[in-house]
Amino acid sequence: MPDLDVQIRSYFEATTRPVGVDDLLEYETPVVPPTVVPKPRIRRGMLVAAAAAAAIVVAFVFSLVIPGSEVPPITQPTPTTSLPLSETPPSELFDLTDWIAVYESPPNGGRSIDQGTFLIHPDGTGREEAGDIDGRISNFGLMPDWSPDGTRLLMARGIIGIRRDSDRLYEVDLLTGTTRALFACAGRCISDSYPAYSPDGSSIAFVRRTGVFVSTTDAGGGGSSSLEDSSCGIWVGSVDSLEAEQITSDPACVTTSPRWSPSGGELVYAMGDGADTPLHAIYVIDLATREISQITDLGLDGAEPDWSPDGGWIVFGTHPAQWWDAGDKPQGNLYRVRPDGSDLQQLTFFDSSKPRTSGARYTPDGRWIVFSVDNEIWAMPSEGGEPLRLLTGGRYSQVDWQP
Amino acid sequence: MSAADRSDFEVFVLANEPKLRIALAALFGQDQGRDATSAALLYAWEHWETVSVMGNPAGYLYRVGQSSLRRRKEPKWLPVPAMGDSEIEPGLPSALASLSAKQRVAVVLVHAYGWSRREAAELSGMSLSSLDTHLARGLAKLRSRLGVEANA
Repeated sequence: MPDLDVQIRSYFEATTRPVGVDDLLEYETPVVPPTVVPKPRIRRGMLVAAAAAAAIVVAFVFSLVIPGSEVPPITQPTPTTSLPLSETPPSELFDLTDWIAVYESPPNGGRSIDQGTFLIHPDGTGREEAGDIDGRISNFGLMPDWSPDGTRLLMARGIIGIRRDSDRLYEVDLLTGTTRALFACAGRCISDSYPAYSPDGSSIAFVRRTGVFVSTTDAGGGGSSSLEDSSCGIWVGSVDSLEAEQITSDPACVTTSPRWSPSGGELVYAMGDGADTPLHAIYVIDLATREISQITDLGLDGAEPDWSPDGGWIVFGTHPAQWWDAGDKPQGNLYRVRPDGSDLQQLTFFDSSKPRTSGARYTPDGRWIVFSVDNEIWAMPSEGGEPLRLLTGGRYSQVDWQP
Repeated sequence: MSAADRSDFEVFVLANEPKLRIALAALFGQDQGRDATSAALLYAWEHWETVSVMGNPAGYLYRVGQSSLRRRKEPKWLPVPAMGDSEIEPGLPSALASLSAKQRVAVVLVHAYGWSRREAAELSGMSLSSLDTHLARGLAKLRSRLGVEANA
Protein backbone atom coordinates (compact mmCIF):
# COMPACT_ATOMS: atom_id res chain seq x y z
CA MET A 1 0.00 0.00 0.00
CA PRO A 2 1.46 3.43 -0.92
CA ASP A 3 2.25 6.02 1.73
CA LEU A 4 -0.68 7.89 3.22
CA ASP A 5 0.12 11.16 1.43
CA VAL A 6 0.14 9.41 -1.93
CA GLN A 7 -3.13 7.67 -1.17
CA ILE A 8 -4.86 10.93 -0.22
CA ARG A 9 -3.55 12.68 -3.31
CA SER A 10 -4.61 9.81 -5.57
CA TYR A 11 -8.03 9.76 -3.94
CA PHE A 12 -8.63 13.46 -4.52
CA GLU A 13 -7.26 13.39 -8.04
CA ALA A 14 -9.55 10.50 -8.89
CA THR A 15 -12.68 11.91 -7.33
CA THR A 16 -12.58 15.62 -8.18
CA ARG A 17 -13.22 17.13 -11.59
CA PRO A 18 -11.43 20.30 -12.68
CA VAL A 19 -13.49 23.44 -13.26
CA GLY A 20 -12.51 25.11 -16.53
CA VAL A 21 -13.35 28.53 -17.90
CA ASP A 22 -15.85 27.00 -20.29
CA ASP A 23 -17.56 25.32 -17.36
CA LEU A 24 -18.03 28.71 -15.76
CA LEU A 25 -19.67 30.17 -18.83
CA GLU A 26 -22.11 27.27 -18.81
CA TYR A 27 -22.67 27.41 -15.10
CA GLU A 28 -26.45 27.36 -14.95
CA THR A 29 -27.11 28.38 -11.38
CA PRO A 30 -24.34 30.74 -10.45
CA VAL A 31 -24.02 31.47 -6.80
CA VAL A 32 -22.94 35.04 -6.29
CA PRO A 33 -22.14 35.53 -2.65
CA PRO A 34 -23.98 38.49 -1.23
CA THR A 35 -21.03 39.26 1.00
CA VAL A 36 -17.65 38.09 -0.12
CA VAL A 37 -15.32 39.88 2.23
CA PRO A 38 -13.40 37.28 4.23
CA LYS A 39 -14.59 37.20 7.84
CA PRO A 40 -16.89 40.16 7.13
CA ARG A 41 -16.12 42.61 9.88
CA ILE A 42 -18.81 45.01 8.83
CA ARG A 43 -21.52 42.44 9.17
CA ARG A 44 -20.18 41.20 12.48
CA GLY A 45 -19.80 44.72 13.74
CA MET A 46 -23.39 45.38 12.88
CA LEU A 47 -24.44 42.28 14.71
CA VAL A 48 -22.51 43.25 17.77
CA ALA A 49 -24.07 46.67 17.77
CA ALA A 50 -27.43 45.09 17.15
CA ALA A 51 -26.96 42.81 20.07
CA ALA A 52 -26.15 45.76 22.27
CA ALA A 53 -29.45 47.20 21.24
CA ALA A 54 -31.24 44.02 22.10
CA ALA A 55 -30.08 44.51 25.69
CA ILE A 56 -32.89 46.95 26.12
CA VAL A 57 -35.41 44.35 24.96
CA VAL A 58 -33.82 41.73 27.17
CA ALA A 59 -34.08 44.04 30.15
CA PHE A 60 -37.84 44.14 29.73
CA VAL A 61 -38.22 40.48 28.89
CA PHE A 62 -36.28 39.29 31.88
CA SER A 63 -37.99 41.67 34.29
CA LEU A 64 -34.90 43.37 35.56
CA VAL A 65 -34.16 42.67 39.19
CA ILE A 66 -31.21 44.43 40.78
CA PRO A 67 -30.70 44.53 44.53
CA GLY A 68 -30.46 48.29 44.71
CA SER A 69 -28.52 48.38 47.94
CA GLU A 70 -25.52 46.56 46.55
CA VAL A 71 -25.10 47.78 43.00
CA PRO A 72 -23.36 51.06 42.21
CA PRO A 73 -24.75 53.30 39.45
CA ILE A 74 -24.80 51.51 36.13
CA THR A 75 -24.57 52.81 32.60
CA GLN A 76 -25.86 50.92 29.60
CA PRO A 77 -24.45 50.43 26.09
CA THR A 78 -26.10 52.64 23.49
CA PRO A 79 -28.40 50.68 21.18
CA THR A 80 -28.11 51.30 17.45
CA THR A 81 -30.30 48.69 15.78
CA SER A 82 -32.64 45.85 16.60
CA LEU A 83 -31.46 42.94 14.47
CA PRO A 84 -32.53 39.73 16.25
CA LEU A 85 -29.25 38.06 17.06
CA SER A 86 -30.83 34.85 18.24
CA GLU A 87 -32.24 34.23 14.79
CA THR A 88 -28.83 34.46 13.16
CA PRO A 89 -27.25 31.05 12.46
CA PRO A 90 -24.06 30.43 14.44
CA SER A 91 -22.24 29.93 11.13
CA GLU A 92 -22.81 33.62 10.41
CA LEU A 93 -21.35 34.67 13.74
CA PHE A 94 -18.49 32.31 14.48
CA ASP A 95 -15.85 30.33 12.68
CA LEU A 96 -17.30 26.88 13.21
CA THR A 97 -13.88 25.30 12.88
CA ASP A 98 -12.63 27.08 15.99
CA TRP A 99 -12.33 25.02 19.14
CA ILE A 100 -13.78 25.82 22.53
CA ALA A 101 -12.08 24.21 25.50
CA VAL A 102 -14.70 23.41 28.08
CA TYR A 103 -14.92 21.39 31.26
CA GLU A 104 -17.62 18.74 31.13
CA SER A 105 -19.03 17.12 34.24
CA PRO A 106 -20.35 13.57 34.11
CA PRO A 107 -24.07 13.20 33.58
CA ASN A 108 -26.16 12.35 36.60
CA GLY A 109 -25.25 8.84 37.56
CA GLY A 110 -22.35 8.87 35.11
CA ARG A 111 -18.86 7.64 35.77
CA SER A 112 -16.26 10.10 37.00
CA ILE A 113 -14.04 9.03 34.10
CA ASP A 114 -16.45 10.92 31.87
CA GLN A 115 -15.45 14.28 33.29
CA GLY A 116 -12.67 16.49 32.09
CA THR A 117 -11.81 19.12 29.53
CA PHE A 118 -12.95 18.61 25.96
CA LEU A 119 -12.55 20.54 22.73
CA ILE A 120 -15.81 21.32 20.95
CA HIS A 121 -16.67 23.49 17.94
CA PRO A 122 -18.94 26.50 18.51
CA ASP A 123 -21.87 24.62 16.96
CA GLY A 124 -21.43 21.72 19.37
CA THR A 125 -19.80 19.35 16.89
CA GLY A 126 -16.42 17.64 16.94
CA ARG A 127 -16.12 16.78 20.63
CA GLU A 128 -12.57 15.61 21.35
CA GLU A 129 -10.65 14.88 24.52
CA ALA A 130 -8.32 17.74 25.29
CA GLY A 131 -5.49 15.78 26.76
CA ASP A 132 -4.17 12.91 28.74
CA ILE A 133 -3.34 13.28 32.42
CA ASP A 134 -1.79 10.39 34.29
CA GLY A 135 -2.75 8.01 31.53
CA ARG A 136 -6.41 8.92 31.62
CA ILE A 137 -7.92 10.95 28.85
CA SER A 138 -8.49 14.49 30.10
CA ASN A 139 -9.67 12.97 33.34
CA PHE A 140 -10.40 15.62 35.94
CA GLY A 141 -8.78 18.36 33.86
CA LEU A 142 -10.29 21.59 35.13
CA MET A 143 -10.07 25.29 34.38
CA PRO A 144 -8.70 25.10 30.81
CA ASP A 145 -6.62 28.00 29.51
CA TRP A 146 -5.23 28.19 25.96
CA SER A 147 -1.68 29.28 25.34
CA PRO A 148 -1.53 32.46 23.25
CA ASP A 149 -0.30 30.52 20.21
CA GLY A 150 -3.12 27.99 20.51
CA THR A 151 -0.85 24.96 20.72
CA ARG A 152 -1.10 24.17 24.43
CA LEU A 153 -3.73 23.97 27.11
CA LEU A 154 -3.31 24.49 30.82
CA MET A 155 -5.46 22.48 33.17
CA ALA A 156 -5.72 22.03 36.92
CA ARG A 157 -6.54 18.81 38.67
CA GLY A 158 -8.57 20.02 41.58
CA ILE A 159 -10.19 22.90 43.35
CA ILE A 160 -8.21 24.49 46.16
CA GLY A 161 -7.06 21.95 48.69
CA ILE A 162 -9.54 19.14 48.20
CA ARG A 163 -6.85 16.56 47.50
CA ARG A 164 -3.14 16.47 47.90
CA ASP A 165 -0.22 15.59 45.63
CA SER A 166 -2.24 15.21 42.45
CA ASP A 167 -3.58 18.75 42.56
CA ARG A 168 -0.96 20.18 40.28
CA LEU A 169 -1.15 22.10 37.06
CA TYR A 170 -0.75 20.29 33.78
CA GLU A 171 0.14 21.53 30.33
CA VAL A 172 -1.13 19.60 27.30
CA ASP A 173 0.86 20.00 24.09
CA LEU A 174 -1.82 19.69 21.42
CA LEU A 175 0.76 19.19 18.67
CA THR A 176 2.16 16.06 20.22
CA GLY A 177 -0.66 15.03 22.52
CA THR A 178 1.75 14.89 25.44
CA THR A 179 1.13 16.25 28.91
CA ARG A 180 3.55 17.48 31.53
CA ALA A 181 3.08 18.41 35.15
CA LEU A 182 4.11 21.93 36.09
CA PHE A 183 5.57 23.50 39.22
CA ALA A 184 6.54 20.97 41.84
CA CYS A 185 3.95 21.01 44.59
CA ALA A 186 5.71 19.42 47.57
CA GLY A 187 6.41 20.15 51.22
CA ARG A 188 3.87 22.66 52.44
CA CYS A 189 2.27 22.95 49.00
CA ILE A 190 -1.20 21.46 49.02
CA SER A 191 -2.54 22.32 45.60
CA ASP A 192 -2.20 24.57 42.55
CA SER A 193 -5.22 25.80 40.63
CA TYR A 194 -6.68 28.57 38.44
CA PRO A 195 -3.84 28.59 35.87
CA ALA A 196 -3.50 31.39 33.32
CA TYR A 197 -0.87 31.91 30.62
CA SER A 198 0.72 35.34 30.37
CA PRO A 199 0.09 37.14 27.06
CA ASP A 200 3.52 36.14 25.74
CA GLY A 201 3.09 32.55 26.91
CA SER A 202 6.26 32.58 28.97
CA SER A 203 4.69 32.65 32.43
CA ILE A 204 1.75 31.17 34.25
CA ALA A 205 -0.19 32.77 37.07
CA PHE A 206 -1.98 30.46 39.46
CA VAL A 207 -3.32 30.13 42.99
CA ARG A 208 -1.31 27.96 45.39
CA ARG A 209 -2.53 26.64 48.69
CA THR A 210 -0.03 25.76 51.37
CA GLY A 211 -0.41 24.19 54.78
CA VAL A 212 0.33 21.12 56.87
CA PHE A 213 -1.81 18.03 57.13
CA VAL A 214 -1.98 16.86 60.74
CA SER A 215 -3.06 13.27 61.40
CA THR A 216 -4.73 12.29 64.64
CA THR A 217 -5.50 8.88 66.08
CA ASP A 218 -8.39 8.32 68.43
CA ALA A 219 -8.64 5.79 71.25
CA GLY A 220 -10.41 3.28 69.07
CA GLY A 221 -7.60 3.18 66.58
CA GLY A 222 -9.41 5.31 64.04
CA GLY A 223 -7.94 8.49 62.64
CA SER A 224 -8.50 11.65 60.74
CA SER A 225 -6.47 14.28 59.02
CA SER A 226 -6.89 18.03 59.15
CA LEU A 227 -5.21 20.88 57.34
CA GLU A 228 -3.43 23.27 59.69
CA ASP A 229 -1.70 26.58 59.11
CA SER A 230 -3.25 26.91 55.67
CA SER A 231 -2.62 29.87 53.44
CA CYS A 232 -3.05 30.81 49.79
CA GLY A 233 -1.68 33.27 47.34
CA ILE A 234 -1.15 34.09 43.71
CA TRP A 235 2.06 32.74 42.28
CA VAL A 236 3.71 33.34 38.91
CA GLY A 237 5.96 30.71 37.40
CA SER A 238 8.15 30.37 34.33
CA VAL A 239 6.99 27.96 31.64
CA ASP A 240 10.60 27.09 30.81
CA SER A 241 12.34 26.87 34.18
CA LEU A 242 9.24 25.97 36.20
CA GLU A 243 10.54 28.30 38.92
CA ALA A 244 7.63 30.03 40.67
CA GLU A 245 7.43 33.15 42.83
CA GLN A 246 4.73 34.10 45.32
CA ILE A 247 3.01 37.38 44.41
CA THR A 248 0.21 37.79 46.98
CA SER A 249 -0.54 36.33 50.39
CA ASP A 250 -4.02 35.36 51.52
CA PRO A 251 -4.25 33.58 54.90
CA ALA A 252 -8.02 33.05 54.48
CA CYS A 253 -7.59 31.22 51.16
CA VAL A 254 -10.23 33.22 49.39
CA THR A 255 -8.23 34.25 46.29
CA THR A 256 -9.33 32.91 42.92
CA SER A 257 -9.09 33.37 39.17
CA PRO A 258 -5.99 35.47 38.38
CA ARG A 259 -6.05 36.69 34.78
CA TRP A 260 -3.43 38.74 32.95
CA SER A 261 -3.79 42.19 31.45
CA PRO A 262 -2.92 42.20 27.72
CA SER A 263 0.30 44.07 28.53
CA GLY A 264 1.36 41.39 30.99
CA GLY A 265 2.06 44.03 33.60
CA GLU A 266 -0.95 43.40 35.81
CA LEU A 267 -3.17 40.66 37.09
CA VAL A 268 -6.84 40.91 37.89
CA TYR A 269 -8.26 38.49 40.41
CA ALA A 270 -11.11 37.97 42.86
CA MET A 271 -10.87 37.73 46.62
CA GLY A 272 -13.56 36.98 49.18
CA ASP A 273 -14.01 38.47 52.62
CA GLY A 274 -13.69 35.14 54.42
CA ALA A 275 -17.18 35.26 55.96
CA ASP A 276 -19.32 32.13 56.24
CA THR A 277 -21.41 33.48 53.41
CA PRO A 278 -18.60 35.27 51.64
CA LEU A 279 -18.76 38.34 49.49
CA HIS A 280 -16.12 38.96 46.84
CA ALA A 281 -14.45 41.90 45.16
CA ILE A 282 -12.25 42.33 42.09
CA TYR A 283 -8.66 43.49 42.54
CA VAL A 284 -5.86 44.49 40.17
CA ILE A 285 -2.21 44.10 41.12
CA ASP A 286 0.64 45.86 39.34
CA LEU A 287 3.31 43.19 39.05
CA ALA A 288 6.16 45.70 38.99
CA THR A 289 5.20 47.68 42.07
CA ARG A 290 2.98 45.04 43.75
CA GLU A 291 0.46 47.82 44.30
CA ILE A 292 -3.06 46.41 44.69
CA SER A 293 -6.25 48.27 43.71
CA GLN A 294 -9.74 47.14 44.63
CA ILE A 295 -11.90 48.00 41.63
CA THR A 296 -15.36 46.76 42.70
CA ASP A 297 -17.31 47.06 45.92
CA LEU A 298 -17.50 44.03 48.14
CA GLY A 299 -21.27 44.33 48.15
CA LEU A 300 -21.41 43.59 44.43
CA ASP A 301 -19.91 40.14 45.20
CA GLY A 302 -17.94 40.01 41.96
CA ALA A 303 -15.69 37.12 40.97
CA GLU A 304 -14.18 35.23 38.02
CA PRO A 305 -12.82 38.27 36.17
CA ASP A 306 -11.31 38.30 32.68
CA TRP A 307 -9.46 41.11 30.94
CA SER A 308 -10.61 42.14 27.45
CA PRO A 309 -8.00 41.65 24.71
CA ASP A 310 -7.87 45.41 24.06
CA GLY A 311 -7.22 46.05 27.74
CA GLY A 312 -10.17 48.40 28.11
CA TRP A 313 -12.53 46.28 30.18
CA ILE A 314 -12.72 43.62 32.84
CA VAL A 315 -15.74 41.33 32.74
CA PHE A 316 -16.84 39.46 35.83
CA GLY A 317 -19.80 37.65 37.33
CA THR A 318 -21.58 38.35 40.58
CA HIS A 319 -22.58 36.05 43.41
CA PRO A 320 -20.25 33.21 42.38
CA ALA A 321 -21.69 29.80 43.00
CA GLN A 322 -21.91 26.58 41.10
CA TRP A 323 -25.06 24.66 40.55
CA TRP A 324 -24.20 22.26 43.31
CA ASP A 325 -23.78 24.91 46.01
CA ALA A 326 -25.88 27.84 44.85
CA GLY A 327 -28.15 27.52 47.89
CA ASP A 328 -29.85 30.79 48.67
CA LYS A 329 -27.29 32.92 46.88
CA PRO A 330 -28.80 35.80 44.92
CA GLN A 331 -28.96 35.44 41.17
CA GLY A 332 -25.63 36.28 39.55
CA ASN A 333 -25.17 38.43 36.48
CA LEU A 334 -22.30 39.54 34.29
CA TYR A 335 -20.86 43.03 34.53
CA ARG A 336 -17.93 44.85 33.01
CA VAL A 337 -15.83 47.63 34.47
CA ARG A 338 -12.81 49.66 33.45
CA PRO A 339 -9.52 48.46 34.96
CA ASP A 340 -9.46 51.55 37.17
CA GLY A 341 -12.89 50.68 38.57
CA SER A 342 -14.85 53.27 36.59
CA ASP A 343 -17.79 52.92 34.21
CA LEU A 344 -19.41 49.82 35.73
CA GLN A 345 -21.96 48.29 33.34
CA GLN A 346 -24.36 45.42 33.85
CA LEU A 347 -24.36 43.07 30.86
CA THR A 348 -26.94 40.41 31.72
CA PHE A 349 -30.25 40.84 33.45
CA PHE A 350 -31.27 37.44 34.75
CA ASP A 351 -33.62 37.49 37.67
CA SER A 352 -33.86 34.88 40.37
CA SER A 353 -35.92 32.55 38.23
CA LYS A 354 -33.30 32.42 35.50
CA PRO A 355 -30.15 30.32 35.20
CA ARG A 356 -26.93 31.02 37.05
CA THR A 357 -23.99 32.50 35.11
CA SER A 358 -20.31 31.92 35.75
CA GLY A 359 -16.86 31.77 34.23
CA ALA A 360 -17.02 34.61 31.69
CA ARG A 361 -14.14 34.80 29.22
CA TYR A 362 -13.56 37.05 26.23
CA THR A 363 -13.05 35.45 22.85
CA PRO A 364 -9.56 36.18 21.49
CA ASP A 365 -10.93 38.82 19.11
CA GLY A 366 -12.67 40.54 22.00
CA ARG A 367 -16.03 40.67 20.27
CA TRP A 368 -17.78 38.07 22.39
CA ILE A 369 -18.01 36.98 25.98
CA VAL A 370 -18.57 33.27 26.50
CA PHE A 371 -19.79 32.00 29.83
CA SER A 372 -21.54 29.10 31.43
CA VAL A 373 -25.20 29.16 32.32
CA ASP A 374 -25.95 26.21 34.53
CA ASN A 375 -24.89 23.33 32.29
CA GLU A 376 -24.69 25.22 29.00
CA ILE A 377 -22.21 27.54 27.32
CA TRP A 378 -23.64 30.82 26.08
CA ALA A 379 -22.12 33.74 24.17
CA MET A 380 -22.95 37.39 24.24
CA PRO A 381 -21.55 40.43 22.39
CA SER A 382 -18.87 41.99 24.54
CA GLU A 383 -20.83 45.24 24.77
CA GLY A 384 -23.78 43.33 26.16
CA GLY A 385 -26.95 42.26 24.45
CA GLU A 386 -28.94 39.22 23.62
CA PRO A 387 -27.13 36.02 24.64
CA LEU A 388 -26.90 32.99 22.38
CA ARG A 389 -26.89 29.36 23.49
CA LEU A 390 -23.79 27.73 22.02
CA LEU A 391 -23.15 24.39 23.72
CA THR A 392 -26.12 22.54 25.10
CA GLY A 393 -27.01 18.99 25.95
CA GLY A 394 -24.07 18.38 28.27
CA ARG A 395 -22.93 19.53 31.67
CA TYR A 396 -20.56 22.28 30.60
CA SER A 397 -18.70 24.94 32.57
CA GLN A 398 -15.28 26.63 32.61
CA VAL A 399 -14.89 27.70 29.01
CA ASP A 400 -11.98 29.16 27.03
CA TRP A 401 -11.97 29.95 23.29
CA GLN A 402 -9.09 28.92 21.02
CA PRO A 403 -6.76 31.81 20.01
CA MET B 1 -14.12 41.50 -20.21
CA SER B 2 -11.65 42.17 -23.02
CA ALA B 3 -9.81 39.47 -24.92
CA ALA B 4 -6.66 40.29 -22.98
CA ASP B 5 -8.52 40.02 -19.71
CA ARG B 6 -10.03 36.73 -20.79
CA SER B 7 -6.55 35.44 -21.55
CA ASP B 8 -5.28 36.60 -18.17
CA PHE B 9 -8.26 35.02 -16.47
CA GLU B 10 -7.65 31.71 -18.19
CA VAL B 11 -4.06 31.73 -16.99
CA PHE B 12 -5.31 32.56 -13.51
CA VAL B 13 -7.75 29.65 -13.56
CA LEU B 14 -5.09 27.24 -14.73
CA ALA B 15 -2.85 28.30 -11.86
CA ASN B 16 -5.41 28.58 -9.08
CA GLU B 17 -8.27 26.24 -9.88
CA PRO B 18 -6.47 23.10 -8.65
CA LYS B 19 -5.66 24.79 -5.34
CA LEU B 20 -9.21 25.97 -4.80
CA ARG B 21 -10.75 22.72 -5.94
CA ILE B 22 -8.67 20.55 -3.65
CA ALA B 23 -8.95 22.87 -0.66
CA LEU B 24 -12.71 23.28 -1.01
CA ALA B 25 -13.18 19.57 -1.68
CA ALA B 26 -11.24 18.86 1.50
CA LEU B 27 -13.54 21.25 3.30
CA PHE B 28 -16.94 20.30 1.88
CA GLY B 29 -16.52 16.99 0.08
CA GLN B 30 -16.07 16.58 -3.66
CA ASP B 31 -19.51 17.63 -4.92
CA GLN B 32 -20.06 20.66 -2.71
CA GLY B 33 -16.39 21.50 -3.14
CA ARG B 34 -16.79 21.66 -6.90
CA ASP B 35 -19.86 23.87 -6.57
CA ALA B 36 -17.97 26.17 -4.25
CA THR B 37 -15.00 26.27 -6.63
CA SER B 38 -17.27 27.14 -9.53
CA ALA B 39 -18.94 29.88 -7.53
CA ALA B 40 -15.60 31.32 -6.46
CA LEU B 41 -14.16 31.34 -9.98
CA LEU B 42 -17.37 32.79 -11.37
CA TYR B 43 -17.11 35.55 -8.84
CA ALA B 44 -13.52 36.14 -9.97
CA TRP B 45 -14.73 36.28 -13.57
CA GLU B 46 -17.39 38.84 -12.73
CA HIS B 47 -15.08 40.92 -10.57
CA TRP B 48 -11.86 40.41 -12.47
CA GLU B 49 -10.74 44.03 -12.20
CA THR B 50 -10.75 43.70 -8.43
CA VAL B 51 -9.55 40.12 -8.09
CA SER B 52 -6.73 40.44 -10.62
CA VAL B 53 -4.88 42.97 -8.48
CA MET B 54 -5.28 41.22 -5.15
CA GLY B 55 -2.23 40.09 -3.24
CA ASN B 56 -3.75 36.76 -2.24
CA PRO B 57 -6.55 36.10 -4.72
CA ALA B 58 -6.69 32.37 -4.01
CA GLY B 59 -7.17 32.98 -0.31
CA TYR B 60 -9.87 35.53 -1.06
CA LEU B 61 -11.67 33.21 -3.45
CA TYR B 62 -11.40 30.36 -0.96
CA ARG B 63 -13.56 32.43 1.37
CA VAL B 64 -15.87 33.35 -1.46
CA GLY B 65 -16.28 29.63 -2.07
CA GLN B 66 -16.91 29.05 1.62
CA SER B 67 -19.60 31.71 1.82
CA SER B 68 -21.18 30.67 -1.47
CA LEU B 69 -22.70 27.57 0.06
CA ARG B 70 -25.52 29.22 1.87
CA ARG B 71 -27.05 25.93 2.84
CA ARG B 72 -24.22 23.61 3.59
CA LYS B 73 -24.85 19.94 3.89
CA GLU B 74 -22.69 17.42 5.65
CA PRO B 75 -19.68 16.71 3.44
CA LYS B 76 -20.14 13.59 1.34
CA TRP B 77 -17.07 11.59 0.49
CA LEU B 78 -17.08 9.63 -2.73
CA PRO B 79 -16.00 5.99 -2.44
CA VAL B 80 -12.55 4.99 -3.56
CA PRO B 81 -12.83 4.32 -7.29
CA ALA B 82 -11.48 1.18 -8.90
CA MET B 83 -8.26 2.33 -10.53
CA GLY B 84 -6.39 -0.65 -11.88
CA ASP B 85 -3.17 -1.12 -9.99
CA SER B 86 -3.57 1.93 -7.82
CA GLU B 87 -3.96 1.16 -4.16
CA ILE B 88 -6.01 3.35 -1.86
CA GLU B 89 -7.18 2.20 1.51
CA PRO B 90 -10.98 1.67 1.16
CA GLY B 91 -11.50 3.22 4.59
CA LEU B 92 -9.82 6.49 3.58
CA PRO B 93 -13.06 8.40 2.85
CA SER B 94 -14.61 7.55 6.20
CA ALA B 95 -11.31 8.29 7.96
CA LEU B 96 -11.21 11.71 6.30
CA ALA B 97 -14.81 12.26 7.33
CA SER B 98 -13.84 11.72 10.96
CA LEU B 99 -11.51 14.75 10.90
CA SER B 100 -12.64 18.28 11.59
CA ALA B 101 -12.81 20.52 8.53
CA LYS B 102 -9.64 22.39 9.48
CA GLN B 103 -7.79 19.18 10.21
CA ARG B 104 -8.82 17.82 6.83
CA VAL B 105 -7.73 20.94 4.96
CA ALA B 106 -4.37 20.98 6.75
CA VAL B 107 -3.71 17.29 6.11
CA VAL B 108 -4.73 17.38 2.45
CA LEU B 109 -2.90 20.57 1.51
CA VAL B 110 0.30 20.17 3.51
CA HIS B 111 0.74 16.44 3.95
CA ALA B 112 -0.80 15.08 0.74
CA TYR B 113 -0.16 17.89 -1.73
CA GLY B 114 3.07 19.14 -0.24
CA TRP B 115 2.10 22.78 0.08
CA SER B 116 4.29 24.83 2.35
CA ARG B 117 2.72 25.60 5.71
CA ARG B 118 2.70 29.28 4.81
CA GLU B 119 0.91 28.64 1.50
CA ALA B 120 -1.72 26.55 3.25
CA ALA B 121 -2.13 29.10 6.02
CA GLU B 122 -2.55 31.96 3.56
CA LEU B 123 -5.17 30.10 1.57
CA SER B 124 -7.14 28.73 4.49
CA GLY B 125 -6.91 31.80 6.69
CA MET B 126 -5.48 29.81 9.58
CA SER B 127 -2.52 31.06 11.59
CA LEU B 128 0.64 29.00 11.25
CA SER B 129 0.32 27.74 14.80
CA SER B 130 -3.30 26.83 14.30
CA LEU B 131 -2.42 25.06 11.06
CA ASP B 132 0.30 23.09 12.83
CA THR B 133 -2.12 22.06 15.52
CA HIS B 134 -4.76 20.90 13.07
CA LEU B 135 -2.18 19.14 10.92
CA ALA B 136 -0.69 17.21 13.82
CA ARG B 137 -4.01 16.24 15.32
CA GLY B 138 -5.52 15.42 11.94
CA LEU B 139 -2.62 13.21 10.91
CA ALA B 140 -2.61 11.42 14.24
CA LYS B 141 -6.32 10.76 14.00
CA LEU B 142 -6.13 9.65 10.38
CA ARG B 143 -3.28 7.26 11.08
CA SER B 144 -5.09 5.90 14.07
CA ARG B 145 -8.26 5.32 12.06
CA LEU B 146 -6.37 3.64 9.25
CA GLY B 147 -3.98 1.78 11.51
CA VAL B 148 -0.85 3.05 9.77
CA GLU B 149 2.52 3.95 11.23
CA ALA B 150 3.56 7.56 11.79
CA ASN B 151 6.13 7.45 8.98
CA ALA B 152 3.54 6.46 6.41
